[in-house]
Amino acid sequence: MINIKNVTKSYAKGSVKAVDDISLEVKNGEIFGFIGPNGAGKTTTIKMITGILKPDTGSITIGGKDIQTDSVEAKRQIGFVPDSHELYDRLTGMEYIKFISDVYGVPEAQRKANTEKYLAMFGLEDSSEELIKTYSHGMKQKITLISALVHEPPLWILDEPMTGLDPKASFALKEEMRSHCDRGNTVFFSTHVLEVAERICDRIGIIDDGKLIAVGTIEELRKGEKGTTLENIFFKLTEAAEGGEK
Amino acid sequence: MNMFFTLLKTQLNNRFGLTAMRINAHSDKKAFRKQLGMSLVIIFSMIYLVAIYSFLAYKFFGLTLQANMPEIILVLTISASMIVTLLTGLIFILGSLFFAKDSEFLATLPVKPSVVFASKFSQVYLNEIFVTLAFLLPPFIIYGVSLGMGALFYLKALLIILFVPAIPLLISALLSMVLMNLVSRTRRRDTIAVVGSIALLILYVFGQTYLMSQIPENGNAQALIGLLNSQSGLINFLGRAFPPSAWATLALVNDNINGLFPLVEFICLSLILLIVTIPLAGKIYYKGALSHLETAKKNKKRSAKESKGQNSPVMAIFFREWKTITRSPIYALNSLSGIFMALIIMVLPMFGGSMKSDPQMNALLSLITGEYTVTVLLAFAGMMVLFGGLNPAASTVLSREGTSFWISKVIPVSYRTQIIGKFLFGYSIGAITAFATAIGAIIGLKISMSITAGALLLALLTLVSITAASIIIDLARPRFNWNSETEAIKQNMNVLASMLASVIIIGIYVGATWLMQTLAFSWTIIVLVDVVISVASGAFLYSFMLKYGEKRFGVIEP
Repeated sequence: MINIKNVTKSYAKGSVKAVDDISLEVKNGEIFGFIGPNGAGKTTTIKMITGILKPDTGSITIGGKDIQTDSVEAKRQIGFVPDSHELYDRLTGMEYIKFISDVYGVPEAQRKANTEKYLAMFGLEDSSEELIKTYSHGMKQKITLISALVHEPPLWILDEPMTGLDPKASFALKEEMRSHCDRGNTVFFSTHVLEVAERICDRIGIIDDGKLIAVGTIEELRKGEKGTTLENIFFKLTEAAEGGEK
Repeated sequence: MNMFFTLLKTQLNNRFGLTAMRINAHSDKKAFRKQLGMSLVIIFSMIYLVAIYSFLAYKFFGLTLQANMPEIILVLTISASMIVTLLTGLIFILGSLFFAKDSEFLATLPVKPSVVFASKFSQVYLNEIFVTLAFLLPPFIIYGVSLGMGALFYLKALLIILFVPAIPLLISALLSMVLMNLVSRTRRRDTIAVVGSIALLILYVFGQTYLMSQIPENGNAQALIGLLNSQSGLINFLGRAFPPSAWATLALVNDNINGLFPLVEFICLSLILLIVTIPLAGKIYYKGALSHLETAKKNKKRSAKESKGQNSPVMAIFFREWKTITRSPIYALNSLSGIFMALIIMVLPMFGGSMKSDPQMNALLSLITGEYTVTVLLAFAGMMVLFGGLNPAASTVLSREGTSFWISKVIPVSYRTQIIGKFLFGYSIGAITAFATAIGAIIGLKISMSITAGALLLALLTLVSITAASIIIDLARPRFNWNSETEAIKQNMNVLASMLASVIIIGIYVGATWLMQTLAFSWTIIVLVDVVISVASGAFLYSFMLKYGEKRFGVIEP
């Protein structure tokens, strides 16, 4: 579903490599967890996958469509939830969902059904007619989630989606992620909550200092060390990467 | 006092990106050179404009000197400066003090509300000082040098420049605080704030018109001449639009004790207003500034309305832009007030007291409706284009997205389509303004329908170029990082650049028309050529906007 080939992104005229020559393939039907320390390059990678940033080198395809050269078709396959919740404050929640439905060309029957379903799932039925600027952080997160799901994209890209969600909404999201993949779709998400990643991800990629230091199933990452948690694996790998640099 | 300076310093640093410039100077020289280059371009453009203005002021002064009324230049420029500050100050004050993003954060700090208010007010004040300096210094110097005024004149001039923005800004601040306090007690705050702000602006304009119209009703020429022959009579007469401007002028032109009293009056009024405003701000500022953070819980359980109707991506973007503009008091005030102002300016003669029976006004009106039909048509078209093109909606169409620009990057709508949606939006505001001008011209100035229709058609064609040019400017350097909506519009150089572009485009028409007239072309040919220029330039700029926009959208990183 996602194919990242030799992608690099630098800032400050190349002196800071936010993402350093990473290659990654995310298959159809899997929940892929993307984890790493703060400043590792997770959000930069996600922004390149979604077309917000342009890589310096390499290519990224979504369902076979290049995000740079065939951007409209590539983006049509994505439902994206960023880590920040900067939305159109002057629209109501419902108007924002309608706007997204219009630009994704969602048929009326589908948008009605999905809007009602997800507003109920995330408990926003009573607030959907309020202006977004009156929403709490968590409510903005929910509206962003709903707008990413309403058009039923084959690929969900979620950047720290659990942040700000109440436990009920968090549980509902995890269930929905699983159900989405069971239907043959794909979820790519980044998180700092390693227990969640360990529990629900089919495969995990660990990025540190712009480099992809490990990719695989939780078993593959354990490398035979039974009972080791993802947290331990994470610390071991990131500290090893740090030590290697020193 | 320390807290005030700490706040002011930090806010100015944040607003002008001073630390960012300092860091770039060491670590990102390309970005630093770009910032420096832009700053120098802006400075040189301002110097150029001030130079042209100074030349015109010098010529005008020469005429007034011949008529033995040199004080006219002082009273007119001081009046104009104070009136413009009063009108634009309202927008600045509302945006910087009441709709800034950092209001919530500042409210959590252990700082008095009056100090927060004072620091924000000072930012607006400092901004106005620079504008006042550019506006008043040339005529003051021209007057002082030509008449051999002494050091005292220049000292008083400096004091007056420092204090000129005070009265209008403090009036705006007081009225804004009252307005926002009232707004905070209502439920539909944004709607009331939008309507209230526009109403206040219209009130200012009508207030000025009323003051300006208070000339002797019986038209007694002898009485009028007597009034104008005395220096103070002339100054008071011309300064009636904003009386403190008369005090400032009298202070400047009189070297003796007669100049001291008006200066004291002028400064004292400024200080009295300040003394009244700051403590009041301490009591009511936060209520107005933070009211937008309060949400009214609806008692009735409501289910989501059905999402009716499906819009194309172009129309979805078009409607989104309109909703954003009309629901933000600052955007509405800046972008939509022009529609009302254009209408009001056209119908003002109907309300201007003795202007209605003014023989010179009547002569002008009969001229407009008389034989110079084509000239009037072209002049009106120019006026409609000017009113329609001066609004900042198109030149901030990307900048206003701010930190939510990421949405435009991820939605599956081609950049070309998005630009078309934004173009339609910007054009629609210009077109509505042109229509409002046309309606006002028919009602207020009794211009014939045929002339108005012809002028409107030409204006609508020309607005294509102006809207496209404005969007191109914002595509070239969008400004996404702003703390308040006012910064997105008022402190966005794209708006100024777009106004200059509008003036240049109008200048091309004026130049072409003048040239053709000089070459004795018939008026029919002149109008036809103007239409052809409109269509050709519109097509070219629109096409360029799309091509350039597609490239720029791809590389702009939010």
